[in-house]
Amino acid sequence: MKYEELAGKPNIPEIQKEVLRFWKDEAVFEKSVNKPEAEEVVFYDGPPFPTGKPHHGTILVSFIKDMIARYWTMKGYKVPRVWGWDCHGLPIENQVEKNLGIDDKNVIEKELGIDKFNDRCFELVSGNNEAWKDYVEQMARWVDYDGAYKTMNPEFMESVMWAFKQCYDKGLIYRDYRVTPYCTHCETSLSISDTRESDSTRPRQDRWIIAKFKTEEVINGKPVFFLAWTTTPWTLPSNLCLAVGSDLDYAFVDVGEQIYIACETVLPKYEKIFGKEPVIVKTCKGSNLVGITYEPLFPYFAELKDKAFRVVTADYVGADEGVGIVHTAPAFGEDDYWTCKNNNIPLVNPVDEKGRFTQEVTDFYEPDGEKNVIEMNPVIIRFLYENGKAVADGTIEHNYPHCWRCKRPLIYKAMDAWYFNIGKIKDRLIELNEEINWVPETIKHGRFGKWLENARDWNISRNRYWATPIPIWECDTCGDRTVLGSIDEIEKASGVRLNNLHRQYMDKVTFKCSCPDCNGTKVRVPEVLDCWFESGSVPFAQKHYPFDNKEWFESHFPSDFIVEYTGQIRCWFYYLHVLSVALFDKPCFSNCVVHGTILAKDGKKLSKSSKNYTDPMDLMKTYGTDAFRLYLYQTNAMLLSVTCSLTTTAYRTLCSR
Amino acid sequence: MQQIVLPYWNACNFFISYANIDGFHPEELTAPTSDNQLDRWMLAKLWEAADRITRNMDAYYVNKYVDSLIELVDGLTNWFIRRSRRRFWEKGMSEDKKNAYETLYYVLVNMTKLFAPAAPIISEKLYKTLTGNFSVHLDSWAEIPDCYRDDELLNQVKLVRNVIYLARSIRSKNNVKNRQPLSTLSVVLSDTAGIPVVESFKEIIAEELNVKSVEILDSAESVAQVKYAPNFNEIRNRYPNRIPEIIKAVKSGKFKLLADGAVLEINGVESVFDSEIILVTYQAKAGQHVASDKGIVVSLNLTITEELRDEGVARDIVRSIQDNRRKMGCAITDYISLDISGNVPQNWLEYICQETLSKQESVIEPDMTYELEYEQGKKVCISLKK
Repeated sequence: MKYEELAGKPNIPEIQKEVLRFWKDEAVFEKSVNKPEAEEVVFYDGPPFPTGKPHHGTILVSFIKDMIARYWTMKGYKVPRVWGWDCHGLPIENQVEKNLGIDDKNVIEKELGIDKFNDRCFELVSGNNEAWKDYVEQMARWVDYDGAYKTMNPEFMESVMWAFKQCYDKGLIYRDYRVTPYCTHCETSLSISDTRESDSTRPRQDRWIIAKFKTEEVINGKPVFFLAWTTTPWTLPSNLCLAVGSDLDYAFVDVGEQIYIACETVLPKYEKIFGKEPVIVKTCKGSNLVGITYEPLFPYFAELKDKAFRVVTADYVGADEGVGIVHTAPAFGEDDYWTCKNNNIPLVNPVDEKGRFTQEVTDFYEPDGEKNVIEMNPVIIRFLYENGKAVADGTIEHNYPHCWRCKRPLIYKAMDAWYFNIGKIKDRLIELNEEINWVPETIKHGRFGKWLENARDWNISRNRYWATPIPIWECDTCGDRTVLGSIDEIEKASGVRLNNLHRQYMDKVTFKCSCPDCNGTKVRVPEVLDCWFESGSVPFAQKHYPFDNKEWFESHFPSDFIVEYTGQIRCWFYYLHVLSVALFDKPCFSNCVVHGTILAKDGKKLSKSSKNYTDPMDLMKTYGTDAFRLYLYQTNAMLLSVTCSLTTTAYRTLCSR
Repeated sequence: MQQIVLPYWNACNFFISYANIDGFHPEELTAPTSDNQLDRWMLAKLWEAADRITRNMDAYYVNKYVDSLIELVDGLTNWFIRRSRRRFWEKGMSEDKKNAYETLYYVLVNMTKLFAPAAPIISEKLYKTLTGNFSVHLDSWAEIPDCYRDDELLNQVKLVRNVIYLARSIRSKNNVKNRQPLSTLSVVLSDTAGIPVVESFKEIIAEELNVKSVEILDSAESVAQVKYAPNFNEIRNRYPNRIPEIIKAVKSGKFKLLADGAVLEINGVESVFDSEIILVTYQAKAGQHVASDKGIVVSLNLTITEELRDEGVARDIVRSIQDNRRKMGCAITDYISLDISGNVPQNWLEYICQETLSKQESVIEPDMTYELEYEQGKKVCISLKK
């Protein structure tokens, strides 16, 4: 008997075709997971958005997942691998808006209808999932692609509802009116994490302005003004107080006709305002300024005179930016919000859902206006100069948060939202992190550990349509709340049996309030859940736990391993951990492999437009997936180091025969 | 790929070509029991790679995987197969040849399992070819018995290969090809424990480097001038608070370099530091050619005598005939006729015939005739016939 002779040089593309065909024809992957007697290694596959296209990053993560799973398979385990799709959320809604030419929530709610809009979203995510299929096969990645779980399936959504109710019952969900990042285009609040995602917070040029606030004081016959610096002139109409640092030194500077108050150390920075040799008539500590009142910059909220328009102290005030006096508008900044709350100053919020001024702001309100407040900045600056209320302006490049989907700049705005009380479980989050094996291990107490320590309550509500509706019903008369955590519970409460849990059906579910005195009707709250709540539910929701697979899940949790790129440390890894700890008091995964991102040779991001990388599909078909895999496994990107050049040239040196 | 997939493929190809000639085709995989040092080394190398990969993967530490594969493939092709070639060329099936086959086969099959998670496609193809089994991905992981572990032997060969690697670097730097025999390689080791190792591998080193003799010197002074300098980077990293005094002590020569550290005299007091803080360089003395790394200094005598030159020419001729045998489509065992004339080193004719499986005779209708200019103005004319 003889061995089949090999060619002098391997014909890689031919061999690849032959082996891939063999795996498919003989269902080799299926055989590897259909081993009833074998123990199971549990792995969760992070779901991509179905509208996304595979790229080098998604390929690297696939390669690592596949390598680990094949290893455990050969060690005698079975490693089921089920693909998933993250079907909900803003990215899908944005795409549908674009396809329909809609730019306005009013159109969706009043003209098109939520039902039609959601139908369009459903069509979109049901359509183009095929883009990945060819990739998955060429990557030699073994995964159950056709049996993928979808976050929009009723079973998945029911498990999410169950999880929400569990958290609610544990007192982890509350409603509050506070400042949150807000997208005026998508017309929804976002979570703090959304603003940290990849490059959501990025440099942006803005105008800064120094405005002056007239006090009642007069020195040497000259009126005295406070100065305050801001990069958001549009918040000045809502100014309600000025914050100073209690230990900072403030100078009263005579600039001719008037006297300006600013932090002493900033004077040289603003020579144009204070002169080369400032004439200081008096100095004092910030604490001595507290309580001094000033004339409102704009008259819109002058009726609050007794409660607002005075100087307070705040510990975040420094002299490194601006003039050491911080203009404070409680509805539009988190610090501002708390500073005012602590000083019993009320809140004014004259900005509507679209980010436009409301009627109170008479000078800038435009009844049919399109401009949002950021776009109004130049108008406001001009107005302030014309009315002698500005002393200087300029431009600044600073890091500013943007909407992670529509890319437009965000604003901070006070509004009602549902929060997940992270503070309450923070200690357990930190303790249970100790049980996770992080690769590389520095993540445990580094980027993940630090993130946990500084974690804040999570805004889980979105004022949108295409996601799992928040399953809270409130009485329109007495305000009593009912939280429903399953299709059965909904049926029991309302008599309606739903087989689709999206808003167009859930919103119609109403039922009588059970209070003896009130004759009210319970109506669902309008918000939907942040999609991260759904992704964080993947471990149990993909198995429709606890409605199905109860025994299996409880004996196979935490999972053995997950693998994703560094960006998920604050996202998927975090939300998985939060929900696991909240629901099961366990970590979600025993091992977590984190890899870096691949950059082009020039250190820039891989981008199609600059053509700084080769189509991975071409590489795999020409040089062979194995060579590509071996190459990527060897790069620094395997363990975090961010740069790893990937160009055809680099690749060719590896592959040249 | 150049470093890994092709050598892997070539190693399998080598095995299959010879196994098919010798009818080596075991029913199942048996664990080799060879005493041959090369076999023991190769199995130890396999054990080491499997152990490393398994331990790393058990801990989900994914990133050194390919490095381990590269090292294993390098050991297999650039040491084991290279050193074992003649064992496979032997006629018949001696015990040693059988051991070589069993070792090579065992290593290839298990190495393929180690490749499988990382390079699932090529490993599937080669595994099916080598074993006839259904799929490598449905078979069990490589479990290499601990009896193959031999750290001492691995360390010895590592030292030997480092010596060879350094000496080769002298050849390539001076453009003296490996086929040109040279007289002497001198080796100096800072760790004297390595001396008996080099001593026992002398013949192999000589053969690998194509030198007539290998000698071990007590010190590098006869071949090179040793220079010591402070290694600023290391000093900065290791002793950031003592930079100036360390530099001063090294520069003024107030130190002793021992095997496990550097003793520096600072302000009349001796204290021990990491030896890395002193940079040792060797400057070759006139007529010498020196390379050094990790406590090894080698010096290669590049003087080429007439005798050495003739031998080199003979090797060039052998090489060209072998290339052309392949082009003519000769099987490894085919004899050919050879007609050779010109500046042929006569003492080496028999050697040339032996190495190329040829009979020297006048060739009437040659399959191939060509001239080989092995040196400016010096030519041989060669005719070959199958």
